[in-house]
Amino acid sequence: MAKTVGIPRALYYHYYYPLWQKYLSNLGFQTIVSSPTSKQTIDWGVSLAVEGTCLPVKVYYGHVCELVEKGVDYLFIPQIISVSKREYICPKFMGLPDMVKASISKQVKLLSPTIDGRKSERQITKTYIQFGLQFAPWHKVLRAYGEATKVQREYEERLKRECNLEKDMARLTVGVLGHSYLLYDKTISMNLLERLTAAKIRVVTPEQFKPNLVNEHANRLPKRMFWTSGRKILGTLNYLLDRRNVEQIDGVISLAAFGCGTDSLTSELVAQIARKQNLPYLLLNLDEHTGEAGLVTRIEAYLDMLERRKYA
Amino acid sequence: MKRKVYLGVDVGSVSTNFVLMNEADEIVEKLYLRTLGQPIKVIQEGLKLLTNLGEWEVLGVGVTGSGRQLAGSLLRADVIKNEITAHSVAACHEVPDVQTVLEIGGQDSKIIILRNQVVADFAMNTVCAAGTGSFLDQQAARLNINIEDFGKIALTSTNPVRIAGRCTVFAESDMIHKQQLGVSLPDILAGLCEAMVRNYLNNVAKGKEILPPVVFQGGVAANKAMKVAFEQALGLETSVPRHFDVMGALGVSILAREQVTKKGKTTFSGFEIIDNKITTQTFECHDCPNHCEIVRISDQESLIACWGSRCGKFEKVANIAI
Repeated sequence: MAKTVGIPRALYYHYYYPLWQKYLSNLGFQTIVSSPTSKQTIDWGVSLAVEGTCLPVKVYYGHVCELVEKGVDYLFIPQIISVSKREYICPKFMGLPDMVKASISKQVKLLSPTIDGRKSERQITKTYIQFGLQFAPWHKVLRAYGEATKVQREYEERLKRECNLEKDMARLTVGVLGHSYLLYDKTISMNLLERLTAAKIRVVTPEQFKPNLVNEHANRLPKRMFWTSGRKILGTLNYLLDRRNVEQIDGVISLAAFGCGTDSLTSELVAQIARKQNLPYLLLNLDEHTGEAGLVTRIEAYLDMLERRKYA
Repeated sequence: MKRKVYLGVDVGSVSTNFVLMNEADEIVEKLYLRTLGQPIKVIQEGLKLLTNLGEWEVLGVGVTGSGRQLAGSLLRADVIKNEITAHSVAACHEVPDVQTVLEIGGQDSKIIILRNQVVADFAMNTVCAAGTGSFLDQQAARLNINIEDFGKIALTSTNPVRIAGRCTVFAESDMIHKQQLGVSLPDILAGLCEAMVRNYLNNVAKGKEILPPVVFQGGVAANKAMKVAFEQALGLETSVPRHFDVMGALGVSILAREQVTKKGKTTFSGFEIIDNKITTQTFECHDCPNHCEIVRISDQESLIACWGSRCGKFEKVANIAI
């Protein structure tokens, strides 16, 4: 019987799930994904995680916990250092496999290839191939990886086309900036995207734009932004500001996790750029609290303001 | 004869305020009551006090504040609006050319920037409640003085001491330290006000363009020393409106008038609910791992509101629009 591999539905799952899922199953594993984040996930995560980590990392622990309970044979927790040349991702991701290993008591084997594309992005491909060779012969691994990258590309293309509402159906258009693992986790983001859609707000996110365009616009920053996620957020903001009239952008909402190191810098930069260009801006800080009143009040007031500015 | 009025209710964390406004947008009666963690009871009590003050024909009802959904379903309000919008409407009503509103309430503080009577920008305190009314409340209690006397005593200070205002815990240890050195009470209180203003300007109001006229409102505006501290820090004159403590309720009663004029008739449930037995029930739903806390509110036997679920199924049952 095929061995099972658990993939936690958190953090980089939201970027690379199609690739991972396809590749691992092509290599002969049965993949199991944890269920969407719930209160239970957060409870598990908070009790297990190292104090001082951000909410998304705590949530990650919760997902790991669920998979361990389910009795998977392996956990797929890559050690991600860098996904693009001369860029880094949050340092907490580098320590993830070790942090998890230190806090789960049950013996579960970790599959954690080291993804490091600092020097060249070809290195990432090499790493994946080498990882695969542990489980299958050359020709099979190459085909498996080829198929997986194709699925990943298709997924990214689909994201680009996706927009919740047509322009003429929407009352306002708002850019929502933040890490994908905040935006697309309904529990962490307290249903932000659905709330906006219900209020007839067209939402544009960093995922909808071509990476090279976003990168080009990120280069306009006075200093090189070396965090991939922050780069994407700031590049998108600059891009949206350039196309403000075409896209009919009324404002931006910036989503940040409380205790996030990179967000403390990027959300401040977003605020400064938005202020300079007179673009209404709202920062939402997300944490463990389940009371939604504070969030709802801010969104409601913000949308009221945008509407009054637009139609006054 | 019954007098025609619009009712505005602001259910906040610390106080619940009522305003009765006539058709000329003038306040006829106002009430400032402590919520004391019992919003339903305080709403009933407020209505009762209002009926004791006269006979009213309510033309429209608006609610705001963190308890606005609850109050909204209880009173069947015409308008349920967030505090920012309500406060800015009221500030424009009191000072028509206002450009900056500083508002400090019980558990939140906000700054609203207006240009040409339209909200241009706003900010609220983030996760922590430091630098809000409850901070002053707590410190006053610790020093064993009435919150009402706080401002008066602080104004007698000649040399305010420096106290860290970033966090209540640090502020308290700082304060104790200064006390033990023998610093006088007025100097400590004035120092606290300055710390709070500094905290407000560095966090909530960071990067905002503060232009005159500046209006200072919310429960904390009752503290004269806070007004002085703001004026010194900003170098601008700030005005505290007559009804500074009920501005949210005033704003939302104006919004109620606008709304009722548009739709023609109020949905107000009437003063009868004063004596009704309103009950709340809380339970945890176990249909999915989210384990949402569901609150059901009933008036006598009939269910008037139900909320708390992420999936929205209980909200659908109660058929209320948020």
